[in-house]
Amino acid sequence: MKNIINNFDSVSEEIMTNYAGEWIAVGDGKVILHSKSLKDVNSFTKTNYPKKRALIGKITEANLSVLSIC
Amino acid sequence: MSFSFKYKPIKLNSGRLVFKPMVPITFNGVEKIDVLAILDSGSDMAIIPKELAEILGLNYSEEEELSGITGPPIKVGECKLEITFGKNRESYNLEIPVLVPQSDENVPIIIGRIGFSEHFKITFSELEEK
Repeated sequence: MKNIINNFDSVSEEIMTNYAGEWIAVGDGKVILHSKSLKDVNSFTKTNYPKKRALIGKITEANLSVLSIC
Repeated sequence: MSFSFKYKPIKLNSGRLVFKPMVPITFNGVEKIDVLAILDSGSDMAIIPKELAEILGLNYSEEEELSGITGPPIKVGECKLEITFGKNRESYNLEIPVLVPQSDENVPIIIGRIGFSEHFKITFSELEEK
């Protein structure tokens, strides 16, 4: 639990705005990989961060904010 | 016990920055993946990108239609997903319903109300951005 919180806290405005449209993996206070492919990001983190785990996010450029089931 | 998470900035299509409530959550599928998700009180259900659902090994059901306030409805499947959510020594395992777009729609990871918000008293503080 501590690791995921530390990774979350290190997600900065710079990270959120510099990688729009990409998947990111955050570990040890920095972006360790960014890619359009989630599979690439996930396989990299599994190989390089097998114990600590990275925080994975999709940085979107969006205006999506309201959803409902129709 | 209570815990809070600071809002994170998201760049809108217009280029404008808005600060949104985001949370760290562990998705427990065939793999455990820690993700950054938007906590959306305006969304009935959680929705995740199709490629993430595939990595988690989720099997989703019949298609239904999902619509927002703009744009045409999109086809989605529904499934259950076990998640772990919390902070410090307080964590909760929940099973929530999740929608998965059937095409490669550009959707973020969203946690909606159903299956989630009934377990917590959630306060959004725009003033404190958390």
